[in-house]
Amino acid sequence: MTWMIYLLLGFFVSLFLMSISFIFEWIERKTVARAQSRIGPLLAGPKGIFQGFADFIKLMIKRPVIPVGVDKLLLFVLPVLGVTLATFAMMFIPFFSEKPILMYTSDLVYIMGISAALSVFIAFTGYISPGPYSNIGAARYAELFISYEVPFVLSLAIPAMIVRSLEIDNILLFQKTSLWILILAPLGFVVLFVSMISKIERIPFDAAEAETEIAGGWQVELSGRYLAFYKLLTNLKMLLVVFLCVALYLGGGYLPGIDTAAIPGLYFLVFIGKAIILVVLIALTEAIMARWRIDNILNYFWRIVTPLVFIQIILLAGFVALGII
Amino acid sequence: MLVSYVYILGLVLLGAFLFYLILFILGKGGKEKRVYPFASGEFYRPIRIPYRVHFIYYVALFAAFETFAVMVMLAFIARIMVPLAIYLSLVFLALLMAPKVITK
Repeated sequence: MTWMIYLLLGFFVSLFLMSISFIFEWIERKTVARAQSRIGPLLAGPKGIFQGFADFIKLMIKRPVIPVGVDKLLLFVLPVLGVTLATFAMMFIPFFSEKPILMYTSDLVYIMGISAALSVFIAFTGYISPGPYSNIGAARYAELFISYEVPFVLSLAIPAMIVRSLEIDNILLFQKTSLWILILAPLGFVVLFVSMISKIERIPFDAAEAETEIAGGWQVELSGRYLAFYKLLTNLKMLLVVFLCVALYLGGGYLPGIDTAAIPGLYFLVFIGKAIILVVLIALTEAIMARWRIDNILNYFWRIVTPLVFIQIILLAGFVALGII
Repeated sequence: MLVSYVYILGLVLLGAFLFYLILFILGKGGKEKRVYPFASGEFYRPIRIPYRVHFIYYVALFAAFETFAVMVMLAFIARIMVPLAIYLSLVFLALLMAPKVITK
């Protein structure tokens, strides 16, 4: 019966993370709305907190309209596999307690791989629909992907270089006993934050969707449960990158001078609190900026962001060689 | 031990997959309707655009750097600092020069 317990674990953790992702979506939407002098979600639940759930359920019970010539198998496989992998990757991050739900050697490398795969899934989704806007959206997403992915992966690698371990668990343990990686590698954090916004396709890096130009880009042909699952995938992707950032740069659920792990539930609350702060920052960036052109995004990432992360790595190499770290 | 742990990972992954699969199947909102792709009111045959990739140099750079990220991490862990620093400096210079080459 042990196998049943593990199956149920996967089942309930998925349900839990899905719920958290909807609440984070609400926080993001509410923050953007308040920053733009709007009210935002209001009706579903107190202060509209269940708006994400309501949208999801509404889309799930809608009749799907799919384009002629679409690859039906991939249309079904990609969203289900995408949300599963995003959830699975989050189980390696210790967000609930000091120890993650799952552990494995070099788990950071697997998370990097899964996060890249999720982006490839989205580019594929645009390409399998035979419409002009979805194809253009897919091409734009692919261009976006090759711009942000390198600085994103390198900025995730920086904590591993400092701690000299590829396990997230060890990186967190280092931050518990020493300084947060944010203080040791501030440039890495800045790069991760910028790449994160691009990875989850928020303004100013949402050229692949761009409602006013290409009517939603890669997701224009999606509807019903397909669209519901892609919205969920976007939410889970946001949760994944925010959790990664908190775990790798912001000390996870630890606070300086307080043993948060000793008080039940405090570690989780601190972790979620830090994640919420990051989501609010992303939402504020989204609210105050305008969309960039795709070629500007490419230039920005390859000419400014990627060299920045290299400068950080060279500095770190110097510190390590001198024995400072 | 390792095999048994991989088995556990597989079971948890399967549990998550089953959860989303059930959810996806439950969400069937009537018979699917087939329409021509959206093209702002114009008639558009359902074909995929054979677009040219103008940013092929970026793709090549991307592939190199993506693999490189893991190499850098491993070099730090193994404390191979000096060759790494030289290599990083070269990559950094190449990166600054690459866009100029592309625009020609």
